[in-house]
Amino acid sequence: MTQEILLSDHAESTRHNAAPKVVVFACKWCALIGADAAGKNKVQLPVNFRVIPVECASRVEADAVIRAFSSGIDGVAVMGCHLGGCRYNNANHRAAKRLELLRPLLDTVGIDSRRLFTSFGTAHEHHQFADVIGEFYRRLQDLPPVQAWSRSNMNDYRRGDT
Amino acid sequence: MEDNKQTRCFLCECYGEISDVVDLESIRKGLEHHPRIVSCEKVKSLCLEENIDELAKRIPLSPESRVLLGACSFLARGDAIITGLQKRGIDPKHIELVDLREGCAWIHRDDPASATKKAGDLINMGIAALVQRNYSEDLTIEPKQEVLVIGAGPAGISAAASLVKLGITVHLLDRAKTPGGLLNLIKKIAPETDGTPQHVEAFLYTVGNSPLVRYYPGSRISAVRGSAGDFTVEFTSGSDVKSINVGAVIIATGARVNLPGSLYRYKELKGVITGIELERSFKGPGMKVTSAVFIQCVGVRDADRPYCSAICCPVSLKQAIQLLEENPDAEVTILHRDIMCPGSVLEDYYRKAMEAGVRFVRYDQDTPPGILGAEQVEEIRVYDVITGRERRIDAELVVLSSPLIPHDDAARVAELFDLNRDIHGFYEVRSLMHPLETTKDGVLVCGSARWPVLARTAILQGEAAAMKAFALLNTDQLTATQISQFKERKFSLALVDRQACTGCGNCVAICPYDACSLEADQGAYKSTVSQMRCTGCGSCVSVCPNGSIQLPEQNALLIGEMLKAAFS
Amino acid sequence: MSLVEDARLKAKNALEEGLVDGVLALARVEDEPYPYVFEVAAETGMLELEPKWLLAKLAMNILRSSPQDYRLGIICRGCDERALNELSKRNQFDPARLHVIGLACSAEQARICLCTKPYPASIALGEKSEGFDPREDERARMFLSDDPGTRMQHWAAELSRCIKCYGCRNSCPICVCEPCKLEDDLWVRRGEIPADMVSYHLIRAFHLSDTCVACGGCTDACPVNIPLMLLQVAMRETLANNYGYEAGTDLERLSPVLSDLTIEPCPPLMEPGWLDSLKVNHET
Repeated sequence: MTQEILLSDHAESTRHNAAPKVVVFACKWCALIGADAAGKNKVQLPVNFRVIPVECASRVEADAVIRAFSSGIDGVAVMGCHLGGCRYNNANHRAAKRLELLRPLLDTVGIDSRRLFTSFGTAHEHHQFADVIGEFYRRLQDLPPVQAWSRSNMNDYRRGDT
Repeated sequence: MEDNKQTRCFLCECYGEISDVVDLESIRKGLEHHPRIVSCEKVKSLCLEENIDELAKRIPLSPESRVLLGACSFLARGDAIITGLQKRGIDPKHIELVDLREGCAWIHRDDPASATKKAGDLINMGIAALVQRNYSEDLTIEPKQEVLVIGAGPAGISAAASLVKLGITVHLLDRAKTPGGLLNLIKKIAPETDGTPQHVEAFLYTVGNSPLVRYYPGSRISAVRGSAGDFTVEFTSGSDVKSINVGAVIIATGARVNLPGSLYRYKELKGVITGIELERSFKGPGMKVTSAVFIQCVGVRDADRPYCSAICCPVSLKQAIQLLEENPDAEVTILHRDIMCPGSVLEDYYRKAMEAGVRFVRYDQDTPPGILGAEQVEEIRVYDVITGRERRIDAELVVLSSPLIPHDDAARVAELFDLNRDIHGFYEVRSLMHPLETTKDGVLVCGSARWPVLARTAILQGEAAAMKAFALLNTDQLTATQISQFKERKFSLALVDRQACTGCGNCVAICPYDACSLEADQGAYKSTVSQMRCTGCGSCVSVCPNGSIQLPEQNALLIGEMLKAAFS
Repeated sequence: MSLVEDARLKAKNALEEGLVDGVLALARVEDEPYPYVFEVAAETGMLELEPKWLLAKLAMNILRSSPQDYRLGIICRGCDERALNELSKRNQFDPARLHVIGLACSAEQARICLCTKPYPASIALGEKSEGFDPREDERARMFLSDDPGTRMQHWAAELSRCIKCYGCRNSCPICVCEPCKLEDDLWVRRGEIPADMVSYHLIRAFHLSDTCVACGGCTDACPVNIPLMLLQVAMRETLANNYGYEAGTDLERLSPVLSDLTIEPCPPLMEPGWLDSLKVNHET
């Protein structure tokens, strides 16, 4: 069996991802406040996301996003403050640009840039946070699990292949 | 990253708020054999005073001791718990708070099984963070007890006067030979119509006679080095070259008056003058006319300068009233797009002008007034927006209201001090609670350099800037982590591994505070961080090609381990 | 005069005139071409121009290990020159010590390298020829196809053959970091073959996002013939479209990704003039 056929079989069977795994890098000054407000208001959210608080969105390195995908995390959200409202003197501009540049790379290899969700300034109220998480989930459910790309998955195929 | 860290874990039931959804017992059992966890207990509540007492008793005060709290969020009661423990001698840097309530139990009530799994993952992430966290070494300096005030206009003189009252030595620089700034050009200050050159004189007296003020007229800054608490500034004063060492800098360089170019036939017709020229004639022989028309918003509030210069409406009201005082029979009209007079004093002033007989006609930006006349201005035609009709107004004198624009030297000063300027060219200040602080710690800006203001507001801002400068200096020791203008402590201070650093300069280019610089080191370049300037934002870390610059409190290993633990 | 004769003459003149202390180029030594530093004018008879050989990193190392007043000339293709510009922007050597003798590549060479700009800024040798769009190449087209499924299939299949020889990293003229993240277990799991495709290749590719000069060294070096340079094409296009930026072409301009939007604006990210970012859809 060739790699191509194995891959396409796999893709067919896992076109949808019912419970995508999401990591959220939330800046302490906006998004984390939104997350906290969502909690206080007891908004019910999908369960498969984990928040990593950062001081500023600009701390989020592209390598960490890539590493997340390679560990089987289906989606990474980076949430920072409004592009005019960063407490660290527009550090978030750099984050926005950097992550914007990561997208074409993710698209080139077919990991799909929709797995990277950036939100600058739209997640600091509880309903906004909930909306953002919900929207990201919906997008990820239309994509296969990122496992299709990770090495361990390829290994499984190799073991099955003579 | 020491391996001998001993972590004690406490899981809060929150009287059922957490434990009704998350199965804390299974988490506790799961942690029993964790190599990093010394003990794990469930408690009914963590945040009442007696709970914190109990908690503190169970935590040894040794350097290896660490605490993991599975509780509510930091913003809920987490902050209070940590502060409470801190009061009882436990170092808050050794406590990790994991949000199991707002971040888990309360948002996943309909799926307790998954919520429990998530809580377990969050606890594991918290453990990873505790284990991998390093601590920044702080830098301490003694702030220099002197302040540099640049600009001897109303804002600068006011700042100097306030500082002098507090016993601080002030170096007051101005590029002009006489102090007073724009006040030198005016006869009366709006909105008070009784004079003020006296006020300036009072200030100047304080300032000129104080042994704490070193005044340098005719000076020009040539170089600036250092950071908050310790700036070295070189400047020339006349023919002398000087170097001073100050703890804070107040920029009060003011603004300049914009001339209208060829708008409204300025320079083409006699009788079309600017507001500032009118003021000059008030200082001299005065101006007696039978008809005068003021035009507001000249060369401002348009596509090139989309801002309101704030001062021109009160100033035109002042001048209109003065023209009527000189000739009560005169017809004085102000053509405006809005009369900007906020507050009660300025609103009263507006009414006073109306009662004095000043007329007001509102025009639209798209149909500006037309100026008619051959060599001397004769008449104004304007489309009156309110009545919907064109008006013709006799005009012997047309006064073009002069807005304020950034100083011609603003770019150079901004570069000397590494300051940001907004899209209009005024110095940028931080938002909300820090309206006088620039992005450079220790450098403050007040008066029209910051934004066009009337003299009274410039004086007020000068006082405020003086207080802020004083607050910075009024301490024996200034630590790098404390110079943070919106929190008590900085999150972290970037640290460079000089062996690994390739000198690529990415960190230098990206740092929003210019805290990184390159030092020559045996033929190569190595990055070095000014801890005073570093704010711990982490921009440098994310662009370093090989991770040689890190934030100890949130280093790459910490993030990596948290990612691994996220879905274990 | 043939091209190689012209090159030998230029090298000889540069040495004789004292413009440089040495010229780095290829030399035929025992029938094989090797990089060689010509320090004696008479030796320039041995100078060769073929095959394509990336000399940028070598030049950097020579400058580092020689005395401060040593000036090096280099017969330099377009990609080498761009690489040298990037290295000098990253403070790896002093550009004043380098004297570039620009060599333009032939159209055939451009086709082999999938190179869009096969010439240096100023051409001393050869004639400028048109660049080659990678999408014109049948094989390369698959990796840059508009259809994401096709792309994914090809990249997944190719990258799974990687034997983690680090040849791509070693041959890349921009990769100078020591230690390197690709050897750090935190980022790329050690002891695995093939390399974890995602972490190894995407981390490497993204590190080069704003500094890759499309020299093709990675593709040339790969023993299993993975067209690694094509990973960079989309990012380079994004930089060109959003910022008008191309790595290696401007010694003064740093990567636009490092600065504020007010200094290096990016149309997809711009906030409206009045800073009313509430009106802009920030979700992407």
